[in-house]
Amino acid sequence: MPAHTTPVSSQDPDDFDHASAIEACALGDETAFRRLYDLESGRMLALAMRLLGSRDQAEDAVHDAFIKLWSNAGQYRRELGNGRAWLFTILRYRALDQLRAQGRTPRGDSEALDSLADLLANPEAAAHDSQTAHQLSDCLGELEAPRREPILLAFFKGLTHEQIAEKLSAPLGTIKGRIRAGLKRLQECLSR
Amino acid sequence: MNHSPIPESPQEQNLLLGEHTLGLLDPEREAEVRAWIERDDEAARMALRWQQHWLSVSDRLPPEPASDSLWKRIDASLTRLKQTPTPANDTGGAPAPQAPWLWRWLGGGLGLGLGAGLALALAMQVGPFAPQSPQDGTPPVANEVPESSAQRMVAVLQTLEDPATPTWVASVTAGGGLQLTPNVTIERPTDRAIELWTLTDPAEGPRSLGLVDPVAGIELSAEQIGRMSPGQLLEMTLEPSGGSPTGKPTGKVLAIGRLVNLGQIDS
Repeated sequence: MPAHTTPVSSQDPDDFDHASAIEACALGDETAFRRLYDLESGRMLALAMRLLGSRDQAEDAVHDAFIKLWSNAGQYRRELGNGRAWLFTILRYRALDQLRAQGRTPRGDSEALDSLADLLANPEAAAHDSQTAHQLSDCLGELEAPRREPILLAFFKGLTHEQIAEKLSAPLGTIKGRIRAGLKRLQECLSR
Repeated sequence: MNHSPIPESPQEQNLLLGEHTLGLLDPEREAEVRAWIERDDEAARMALRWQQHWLSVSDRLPPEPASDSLWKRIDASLTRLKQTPTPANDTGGAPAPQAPWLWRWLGGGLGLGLGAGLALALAMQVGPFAPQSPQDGTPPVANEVPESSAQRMVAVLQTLEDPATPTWVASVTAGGGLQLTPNVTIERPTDRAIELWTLTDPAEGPRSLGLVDPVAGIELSAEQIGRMSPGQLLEMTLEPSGGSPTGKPTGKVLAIGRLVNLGQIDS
């Protein structure tokens, strides 16, 4: 961890109006921009570090995501969806593009699948989940391992179908089928 | 790789978008889906809904304190961004001549005269692109390409240091897309990316066409590149990994060239 750090915000992101903050950014409100950074940079960095495997690259991705946020805030339309989801979409695009630019070599992939799955069983973290979001992590936790594991590898490691097939020593078609089936089950679970 | 079109069933669409939000799609399919999201509000809505659901999973990760230098970098980039003229913050008057990217795109000092000859020579290597429909004898509107994109256009990208050597060849495909093929390997540091830009409207400035694989090149659909015109500039720059943080070229120019209309040569 770096010697000097920005404290992680303790505010629940669900208590913040991301959409209005993004719209304020579009009008040049730097205070709104800084508030979004203070609130979300720690969570964005955590996800980017999982995907990219290094703090330096993760900070590059978060940097780029916030600059994109500022540049493209005028394109955000709240009627299409949640502002926080839009912000994390930008981050995920940037991180995945970085992986692609490097030939999408998985980083830090020695991490056990169990530790990824453990995240879903963390009751302390679950207590902070919003109602809507809580449902998906529950649904994912309920999936049988052969369907859950490839989805976790894609989500946290940015692995492609081919890389997942190689990592799990399974045929490509099998992996594609399991992910499709897993996503379908998630859809069904979320609509319950 | 051939792909099926975007599915019509809402459930299949939702599954495809689920795969997209996970980053599972190969680059070509990913580009198709991103273009679909851009033009279809319902697709954008479904993709954001997936992303909102995935937040519950990423929120299980303990937040990582960011280094103080991260905010300083963002703040510095923001300051530079605000100084860069864009249609949003500089809607009137001539673009500032001191903007380095703008100077480059206006072609100042660039020896691009070799482009047409090299394009013709390289067209033999890349192969002709048969028009989708025969020429009807109607001349195209000056400097514009018909909707059918039946024109055969090629750009030879050259380095500033050695303009006689073609580095990459950009070809407009029969379907109006753009295929960029390496003629030589461009060396780049592992922590840097190569980004492709085009310029259609000097007032708007260069527009990113995405990151380029230095070995395999890149192929873009007609929707991604928009309308292509003879004389249109293409440029590749060295950028931070992930691409330019400002939305405009920031790094060294690796290669640059103009589209040449080869269709007119045959006629």
